[in-house]
Amino acid sequence: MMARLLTFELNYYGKQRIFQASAVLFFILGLLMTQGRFGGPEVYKNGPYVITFISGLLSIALIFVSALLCVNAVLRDRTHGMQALIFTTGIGRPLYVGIKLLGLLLALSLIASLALLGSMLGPWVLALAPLGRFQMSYYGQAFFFFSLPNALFCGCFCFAAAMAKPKASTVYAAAALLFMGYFAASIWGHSPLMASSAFRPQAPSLWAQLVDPFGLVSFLGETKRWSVYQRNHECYHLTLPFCVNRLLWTGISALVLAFFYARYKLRLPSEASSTRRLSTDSFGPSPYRPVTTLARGGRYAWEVLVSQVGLELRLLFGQATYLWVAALWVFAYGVEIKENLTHGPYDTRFYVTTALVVEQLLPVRLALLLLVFYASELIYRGQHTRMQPLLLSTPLTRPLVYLSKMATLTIVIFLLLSLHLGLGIAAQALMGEEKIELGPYLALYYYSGYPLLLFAGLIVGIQTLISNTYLGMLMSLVVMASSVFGTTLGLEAYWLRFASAPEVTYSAISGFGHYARAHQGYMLYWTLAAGWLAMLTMKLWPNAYQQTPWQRMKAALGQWSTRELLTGGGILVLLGYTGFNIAQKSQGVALGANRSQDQRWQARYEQVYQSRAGWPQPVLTALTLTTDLYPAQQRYVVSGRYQLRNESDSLIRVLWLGRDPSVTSLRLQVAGTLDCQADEALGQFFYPLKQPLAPGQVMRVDFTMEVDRSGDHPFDSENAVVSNGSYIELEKFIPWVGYNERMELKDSQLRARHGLKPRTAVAETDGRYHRLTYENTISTPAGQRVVTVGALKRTWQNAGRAYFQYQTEQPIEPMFALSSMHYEVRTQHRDGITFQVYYHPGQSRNVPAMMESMQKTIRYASRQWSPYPFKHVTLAEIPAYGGAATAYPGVIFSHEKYNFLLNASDTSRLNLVYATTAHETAHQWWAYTIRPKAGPGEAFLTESLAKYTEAVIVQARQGPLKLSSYLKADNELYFSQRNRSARQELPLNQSWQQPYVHYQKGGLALYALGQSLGEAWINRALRRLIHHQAYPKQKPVAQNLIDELKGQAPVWKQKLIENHLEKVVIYDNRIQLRSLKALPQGGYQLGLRIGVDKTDQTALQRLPINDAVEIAVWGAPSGPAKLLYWQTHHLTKRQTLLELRLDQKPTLVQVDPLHYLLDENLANNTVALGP
Amino acid sequence: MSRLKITGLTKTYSNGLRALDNVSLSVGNGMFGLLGPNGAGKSSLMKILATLLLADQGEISFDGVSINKNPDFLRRQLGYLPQDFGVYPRVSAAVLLDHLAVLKGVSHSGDRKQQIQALLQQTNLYAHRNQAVSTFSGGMRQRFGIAQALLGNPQLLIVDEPTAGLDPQEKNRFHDMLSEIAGRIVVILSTHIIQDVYELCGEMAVLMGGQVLLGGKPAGLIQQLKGKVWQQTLSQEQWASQPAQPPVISTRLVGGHHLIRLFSSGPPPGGGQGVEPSLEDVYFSALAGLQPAKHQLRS
Repeated sequence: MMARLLTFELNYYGKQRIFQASAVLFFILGLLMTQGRFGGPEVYKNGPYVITFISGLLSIALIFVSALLCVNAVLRDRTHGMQALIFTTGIGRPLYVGIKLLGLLLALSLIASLALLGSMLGPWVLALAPLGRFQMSYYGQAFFFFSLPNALFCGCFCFAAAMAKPKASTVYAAAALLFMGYFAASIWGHSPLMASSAFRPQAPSLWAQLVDPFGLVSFLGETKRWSVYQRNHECYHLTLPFCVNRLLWTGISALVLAFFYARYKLRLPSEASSTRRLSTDSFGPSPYRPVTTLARGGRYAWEVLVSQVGLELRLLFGQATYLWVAALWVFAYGVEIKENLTHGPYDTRFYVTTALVVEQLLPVRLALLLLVFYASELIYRGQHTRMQPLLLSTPLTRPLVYLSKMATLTIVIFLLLSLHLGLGIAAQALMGEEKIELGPYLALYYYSGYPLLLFAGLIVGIQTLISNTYLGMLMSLVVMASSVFGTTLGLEAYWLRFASAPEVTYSAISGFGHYARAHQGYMLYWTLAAGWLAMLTMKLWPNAYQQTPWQRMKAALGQWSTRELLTGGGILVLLGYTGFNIAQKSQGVALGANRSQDQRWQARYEQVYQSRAGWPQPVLTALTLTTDLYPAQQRYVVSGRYQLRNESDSLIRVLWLGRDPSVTSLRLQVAGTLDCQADEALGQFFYPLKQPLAPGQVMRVDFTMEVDRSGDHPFDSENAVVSNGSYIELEKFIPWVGYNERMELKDSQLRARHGLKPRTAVAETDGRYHRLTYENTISTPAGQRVVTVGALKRTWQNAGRAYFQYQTEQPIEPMFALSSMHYEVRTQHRDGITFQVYYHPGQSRNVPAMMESMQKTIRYASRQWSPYPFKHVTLAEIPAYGGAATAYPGVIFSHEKYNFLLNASDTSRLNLVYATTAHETAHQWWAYTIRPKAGPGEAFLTESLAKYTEAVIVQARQGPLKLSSYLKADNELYFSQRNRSARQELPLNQSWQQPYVHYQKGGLALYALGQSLGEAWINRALRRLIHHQAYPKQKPVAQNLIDELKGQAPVWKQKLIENHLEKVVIYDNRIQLRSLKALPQGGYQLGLRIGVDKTDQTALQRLPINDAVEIAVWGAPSGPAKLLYWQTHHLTKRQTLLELRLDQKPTLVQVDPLHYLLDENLANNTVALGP
Repeated sequence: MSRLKITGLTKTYSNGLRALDNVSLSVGNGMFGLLGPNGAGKSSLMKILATLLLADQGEISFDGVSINKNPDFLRRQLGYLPQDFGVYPRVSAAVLLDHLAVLKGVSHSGDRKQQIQALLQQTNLYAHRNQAVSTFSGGMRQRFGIAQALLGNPQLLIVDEPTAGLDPQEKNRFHDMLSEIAGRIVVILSTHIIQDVYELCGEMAVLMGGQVLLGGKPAGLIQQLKGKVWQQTLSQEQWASQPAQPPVISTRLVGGHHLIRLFSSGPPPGGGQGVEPSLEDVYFSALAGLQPAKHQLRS
C-alpha cells in the first residue's frame, strides 16, 4: 500500500508544472553557473571548490522551490477541498504525513541532483576552462554534504510549517524566514558572498558557522584562505563546526517536524465560532429596501480602491506570519548595520552616521522575495478563497482590480521601507549618534522603494499572465534574478534588465552621487515600461469570460479602444525615445567598466599600438592648465599648454598623442607639424614634425578638452564630477604622449579571450626622473574650494565662480589630482611647514589625529631620511569613493569613510586614521622623493616602505602591543589573498601586480627586519638610498635598497634580509609548555619549547633557522594582563628549549607576540596557561 | 412584460459536453423557477446569466440591453448567489458586506450601513455580524450569501440552490423575503425542490440535457395534467411479479408498498386510481418525455 501511495505521490509531482519547471530550471542553473568565476579565474570549473560552491548556492535557492512544491503538493488536499474525503478513508496519520513528506523530499532531492548534473555537464557543454580531471567524488561530496542535507532541511522546514498551519502564507513566510536567517548568518560570519567581507580574512566565529542553516558560512570561511591548488584538488575538509552544523540543522528540522507532527491531526481545520461572543447590541427593526447604486465614475473608483486596499491590509496584518517576517527583517538588517559599522577592516568601527547607515540600507533585494510571495497571495486571493463568483459578478472593472492590487503593494512597500529606515534611525539612536538626518532616509523611499514598486508591477504582470500560481511565482523569481544578477548572464545594459539602473551609493558629501541624475532617467524609462506593462496587465487580467492565458491574450489583442491604442502607442514612443536617449548618452568606452565594448576597445588599442611602444617621444616638462569644473552638469573643461622636451638620444620625427576614452571632445594644436594622422576610434593622433625634434629641444602643444562625467557614463572614482566632492586624477585624463599601458587589459582571462599574450613585468630602461612644473587655474562654483598639487598662489571670485591658482615651486613627478567641494579648513604651522586639513563640514572628529599624524611623520622622516621637500602639506577629504587615501606631491586625498567616519575614539584600539595618514604622508618620500624605476619590485620602494613607516609612526604613538593587532591582521590578509591568487608569488624585490606582497608582506618584512636589525639600521639604509638615488639622480630599483640594508651587516642578518626581501619565506612558529613549577623560594620556573620552521616557497625547501624571534610571557594575577617577560632570542634550531624564571605566575606565553613573521597558523603561537 | 430575454443560448465546454442547447426563455418581474436534474445545464445557464461564463451562441438581453456586448450593464444591477462560494478569511460579515456593497456601487455610506443592517437582521446574522464569515456554519454562510446578493439595488437576482443547508425557519424567512421583493425585480431561482417552485414562482421551466423541456406557470402546467395522472399501490410481491406498465411518471416506496404514478388519458390497463396532479408530476412527466410539447414561456 505504501509503495502505491508513494507512486501516486510521485506521479502527482511529475504532473505538476511547478515541479517540471523547477527541475528544468535547476538543471539549467547548474549548467550556467559553471561560467561563474567562483574562487578565481584559475580555479577549475569542475574542481571540488566550484562544484561545492555551486551546489551550496543552488541549495539556498531550494528554499523557494521547497515552499512552492509544499504549497502545491503537500497542501493540495486542503486547497482542493479533498481533506474530508482523504481523512475519512482510514489512512493513518503516520502514513498520510510520511508519504507526503517522503514525496516532497524525493522531489527536492531530484531537483538538487539535476542541478548538480547541470554543473557536471556545464564545463563541457559550454566549453569552459580551466578544467581538471573529472572526479565523481567531488560531486558526491557536494551532493551528500550540501545539496542533499539542504534539500532535506528546506523540505522538512516548509513541511513543518505546512503542518503547523496548513496555509500557503505560512509556508512562504517560513521560506522567507529561512532565507533571512541565512542572510543574517552570512553577514555575521563575514561570508565572502557579502560585499563587506573583503578585509575580513579571519575565519567566521563558531556561532556564525552554526547559525547558518546551509553550511555555507563554514565552507566559505574555511576555504577563504585556501590556495588555488587546494581549491582545484581538495574536497572540503569536514571540520568539526561544519559537521556539528549539519547535525544540528538536521536535528533541528527533525525536531521541528516531530513537534508539529505531534500536534497534527487528520481533522478539518477548526474554524468554529463557538468561542466568539455574539454582538448583543440591538438594532431596531429595519426592513430591507434597495438603495441607489452608482457603479461608475471617479467616486466609485476611489471608494472601491479604499475599500479593497483596506481589506487587503486588514488581511495582511491579520496574519502573524507576516509580523514574524517583519521581525526577522529587522533582525537581518540590524545584524548587517551592526556588523558592517562595528567590524571594519583592521578591527575598526565607524561612527554610526546617517550616511553610513543609509549606505547599508540602500540595497533592499530581500524585499523582492517578499514581494513575490505576497503578490501571489494578493493576486490569486479571489481564486484561492473561491470568492471569484461574488467578485466577478459585481461591476468591478479590470483596471480597478489591477489598481487596487497595485495600490496595496505600494502601501506594503511603503510600510516595509518605513520599517527599514525606522530601523536605521533606531540603530543610530541606540548606538549613541546624536545627529540624525531625516533627508537621506526619506530619499530611500525613492532610491530603494521605487524600483521595488516597478518590480511589483512586473511581478503582478507575470503572475497575471501565468495562471498557475506556483509557476507564476517561480517565473517571477527567475525574471527578478536575471534582472538583479543580469551582468553575470551577459545582460550588461541596464535597459535590458527590468527596473535596473546604475547602482547609487550614498555619501554625506556627494549625496547619491555620480548616478543620482542618471538614475532618474532610468527610472523614467522603467516607469514608462511599467506603465505599458500595467496597460497590458489590465488587459490580461482574468475576468469572467477569459480565464486561460490564451483566451486573455486573444481577447487583449482584439480589444484596444482608440484611446487605449493612443495611450499605449504614446507610452511606447516615449519609452523608445527615453531608451534611445539613454543609449545615446551612455555611448562610449569607459576604462575599468569592463563591459564587452570597453574590453574590445582596450584589446584593439594594445593590438594596434603596443608594437610602437618603443618609439622615442618627448616628455612633458612644463604644464600650464586652466580647468573649469561644472559640477551641476557633471562636466569639466581643461585647456592647457604642454612644453615637451626630447630627452632621448634620437631625433623625434612624429609626435604621438593619445586621448583618454572618457574625454568627450579634444582639440589639439601642435605648432610646426604637418597634417595630423588620426585614429579617431582609438583616440590616437600622429603629428609628423616639419623639423625633427633633436635631443634636448623643446616643443609646444596646446589643447582644449571637454569631459562629460554625467551618470550616463560608468562611474570612475578617479574622474568623478559630482555636485559636491569632485575628484579628478587629472594626469590620467589629459592627452598623453606615446603609448599608454594604462589602456591595456589587465585580467589574464580577458586578455586570453581577446587573443592577447599574458602581461609581463618589463623593467623601465630609462632610469631618469622626468619631473615637470605644474600650474593650474581652476574654477568651480562659488562656495566650493579646490585643492590640487602645488602652492595656492591666488584665489578670486568672478561671476558666481571661484578661481584657484595653484603653482608648483619646484619640479614634481607628473602627478596632479584635484578636488572640489564645500570645505572647512584647519591649518597649523609646525617646523616651517603649513599643515592643512580640508574637510566636509561636520566631519571634523578625526582631524586632530590626521594633523598629528602628518606632523609626526614629517618630523620623523625629515630627521631620519631627508628634509620634507615642500613648504606645505595638505590633506583633503573626498567622498567615499572606495579605497582609503591617495598621496600626491604635497597633497593627500583622503576618502571620507575610512578616514573621517572611522570611530577612533576607543584608545584601546589601533587608530587606523592615524596609521593611514602616516602611510600617505610617507609617500612624500616613498614615491615623490624616491621614485623607483617602473617594473618588478617598484612597489616595494613605495608601498612597502610606506607600510613600514606607518608601523613605525603608529608604534611610536600607541606602542608595539596595539600595533600587534594591526600586524596580525596584515598577516592574515596576506595569507588569504595569497591563497586566492593562482600566480606564483614573487619575492618583494620583484613584486608585480601582487598587492598582498608589496602591501601586507612588504610592511611586515620591513618591520621584522627593523626588529632584527634595529630601526636605526633601517633608517640609515633609507637615508643612503635617498642620498644616492633621489632626483635628479637615477631612479632606484628594489635591489638598491636591499644593498643598502645589507651594507655591513653580519652574515646571518644578510641572510635574514635575503629571506625576507629576495625570497618567499613562510614561517611556522609554535610554542609549547613543557613545565611550570612554583619555586620554594618564590617565583616560578617556566619551561617552554619553541618551534620555528621556515620554508622557501620558491624552491619548496626548508631553510636553516638563524632568526631573531621574540618571546613574551604574560601574567594576570588579577586584572589586566601584565608583561612578565619579553625578549628577542637569536634562534638557530627548529626546536629550542627555554627555561625562564619568573617572579609571578605566568598565564600566557607567546612566540612572535607582535605577529610580524609570516605564519599561516597564528593560533599555535600562543598558549594560555590558565589562571 | 419580459425584462430578461434569452434567445438560442448554446454552450459547449472544451471537453465536448453540450451544457446548453438552443435555450430560449423570456422572463419578467417575479420569481422564475428553474428545475432540472443534475447536469441539466441549470448552473451553466445561471453562470451565463451572472456574466461569469460566455455562451457560444445566442443572445441575452436585460431591459433591452445586450448582455453579451455590455455585461457591466447587468453587473450593475445583479444580485447573485452561487451554489458554492468562498469568503476571505478573518473578515467579519459586516466588513465583507460593506466591501461588496462598495463594489456594487452603494456609494452613500448611510444607505450602505442601513441596508447592511437590514440584511443582517433579515438573514438573522445581526448578532454574528462581527464574526469572520469563514467561521460561519454552512447555513449561516448561505444566509450571508443571500444578504450579499441583495446588496444595492438588484434588478436581476439569480439564486442557485439558495435554501440548501437552511433550517425550515430560515428557509421560510428567506422565501418571505424573496416573495416580498420579487414583485419589483426578476428573480431566477434554480432549485431541486419542486415544492419551492410551486409555492414561490409565477413562472417556471424544466431543463434537461441543456434544453428547455417545459415551461409555463406552475398552476397551468398542473392543470394540463388534470385527469391524466393515475396511482397504483403495489405490494413488494406484486411489484416483483407484475411491474407497472408504462407510461410511468414516478415510483416511490412508501411503507413497504410501491406507489406508482402513471400517465394515461384513461384508466391504465393494470388498474389504478385517478389522482390530482402535482407539480412533481409535471416535472417527472416532462423528464420522462410524457409532455406533448415545449411551451414557449412568456410573461
